[in-house]
Order: sequence, then C-alpha cells, then structure tokens
Amino acid sequence: MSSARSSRTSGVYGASTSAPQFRRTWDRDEYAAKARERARREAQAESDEERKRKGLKPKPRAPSPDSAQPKEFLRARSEKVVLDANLNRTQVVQSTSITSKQPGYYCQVCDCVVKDSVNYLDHINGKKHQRALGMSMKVERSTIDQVRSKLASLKAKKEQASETYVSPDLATVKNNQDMLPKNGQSDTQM
Amino acid sequence: MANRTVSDAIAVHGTNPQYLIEKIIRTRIYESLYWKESCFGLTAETVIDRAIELTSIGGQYGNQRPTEFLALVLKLLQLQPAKEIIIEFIRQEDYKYLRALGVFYLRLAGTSLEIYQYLEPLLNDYRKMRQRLPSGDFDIICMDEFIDNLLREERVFDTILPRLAKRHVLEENDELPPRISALEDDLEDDLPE
Ligand SMILES: [Zn+2]
Repeated sequence: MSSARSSRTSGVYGASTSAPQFRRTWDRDEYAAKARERARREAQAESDEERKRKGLKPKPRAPSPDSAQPKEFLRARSEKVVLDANLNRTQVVQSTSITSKQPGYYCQVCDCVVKDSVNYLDHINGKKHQRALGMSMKVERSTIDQVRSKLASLKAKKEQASETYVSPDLATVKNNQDMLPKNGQSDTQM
Repeated sequence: MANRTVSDAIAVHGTNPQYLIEKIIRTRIYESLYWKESCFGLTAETVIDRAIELTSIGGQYGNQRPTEFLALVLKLLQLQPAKEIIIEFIRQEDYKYLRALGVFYLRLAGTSLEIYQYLEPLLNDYRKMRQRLPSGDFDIICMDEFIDNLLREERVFDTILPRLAKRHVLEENDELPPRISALEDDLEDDLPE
C-alpha cells in the first residue's frame, strides 16, 4: 500500500518524470466516466429493487451509453443460406450437454441450436443473432446515386457478357431521358 | 422481426405503407421462405438484384401462395425509397420486371398525378412478361396491358389499388396536359392537310 503511494508521488502521472513511459498511463477522464456510469447503474438497481418491493415495475429508462455503441446497418446475405448440407446424411446423436453436438441447426455465432430450417432462418434474421454480429436491425437508406451506379454496373456486366453491338443512333436514343419506352426492341429476356 | 416499416416512413394514403397490402397476404409473405431467405436486409439498391431475377409477375397462386413479385412490392413498401429511386426503376429499360415492380409500387404509393405522368408513357412498351395466374399456370402479359390494368382496375394481383383521380379532373385543374397517344400521333401524320 505504502509502496503504491510512493510510486505515485514519484511522478507516474506527472510530466516531471524523465524515465521512459513503459508504464501504462491511465486516462483519468475515462475512469471518472466509468465510475459515474457504475454509480448510476447501482442507483438504478437500488431504485428498481425498492419499486419491486412496492410491487411496481422497474422504471423504463433510456438505453445506457454502453449499449449505444455504433452498430452497423443490417446487411442482406450475399450467399444463399445452406439448409440442406446434411440432408440425407445420418448423424449419430448422443445425449450431450454440448450445444454444438445436439441435433438441429447449430448457430456458431450464438452457440445455440434451433430445431428446423424455418426456425433457423428466423434465428439468423432475428435481433439476438444480428446483435451478436454487431448489426443493428436498421437498414441503410439507399441513395439515388447508389441506385444509378448499381444499374450502370449491371448494364456494363450484361454488355460485357453478350458483347452485342449497339449502333450509335440507338445509343443516343438511350441517352435521351424523355424517350421512355421503345417499342419492345430490347425484348431479349423472357 | 425485420418486418417493420422504416422508422422515418411517411404515411401513404393515410396509413402505414405496408398496409396497402392486405393483412392476410402480408402475413403469408412474412411466413414465406422467399421472404425469409431472399428478402432479409435488402435495401432499395439490393432489391434490384432480386427484381432482375424475377421471371414473372402476379398476385397469389396455387394454395394462396404470394408471388415473389408481391413480396418485393411489400419490401419496397417497407423501405419507402425516395421517389426518384422508384422513377429510376421505371425509367431504366434493361430489366422489364424491375420496371413492373416500380410501376406497381408507384400505383400503390404515388399520387394520381405521378401515376399518370410515369405510367402512361409505358403504354408504348409492348414487351412480354410472364404472369402467374391464381391457378399456378403462367400466361403472357404485355407491359402496356399491365399498365392499362393498373390505370383502370380497382384490384390487381389481389391488391386493392388506391383511388385514382380521373384524368379529366387533373386536366381541368391544369395539373396534367391532355394525353396524346402514340397512335393518335401516327394518325395525324397520315392525315392530308
Ligand atoms: Zn445465431
């Protein structure tokens, strides 16, 4: 105890120390904030306890700053969900307490098992699973520019694939925004 | 569970946009495998990937199964993209099913004026699409025919279409110029002066 105090006086925090800063310097502000947060939580728990004794529900509160970490927008899966990887395969199911060995669909992220494919889809689309992935349940709002460049890149891909010749006058018609539909000339896919 | 309308959505025709699809059909869509597997987490931008994969349009078929087309309509209602994005879907010419999707959405969520403005020009689009019939069979429907249905009918693809103001009312209020059809244009050209 006394040695700790003596090390503090020798200037761990102060600028006076000339020794190389191999010791981790603590961020006082961060610690103060953490202490305040802890105190707040304890006070909340206490008041909830008191309300419980009176037969009341805990007070609704704004989410604590802890849970308000920036989360990513929800993302669509780019690959198809594989639901039939183990179809027609016999697996030995032992009575076990290890979640991953139990029958059903196992989610590695959440370490849980769901009993069938629909429930598995519900699970991976669900809040708990998405939160475990660091995603919010909010979807990003696309901008018109994103949409336009998406369409442009799809078109480029398509043209590259088919290597079709576009006559110059047809190209100018295409650039004219007012010329909406053309009479079924580009009816290529059905 | 990801079936909520975006939080900043604006009421359309006085209601949550998703409610423009009847509740029972909405529920069937939410429960469909297509919705759970392919519509999760889509944005207005990634909806395009799904729309260009479509091979038909339609309402419900077989044992009251909603089509993928209708699921994507519901997805758009949920997302409520900016109007200009929907117009881009309609304006592009490379993917007719993306156009059909934008058109159906605009008919549900747009104003009468917008509907006339952006749908009528497509009466000159004669491209063929496949339509899923309630029986489950497929039929051919042309884009112009589809547009015509949307402008005239009260119900298309098991969906009640919001009331559309009469064209002549909008014309009388000078909101919309009189429509000149491509056909009329041709006729006038042929007439001797
Ligand atoms: Zn999970």
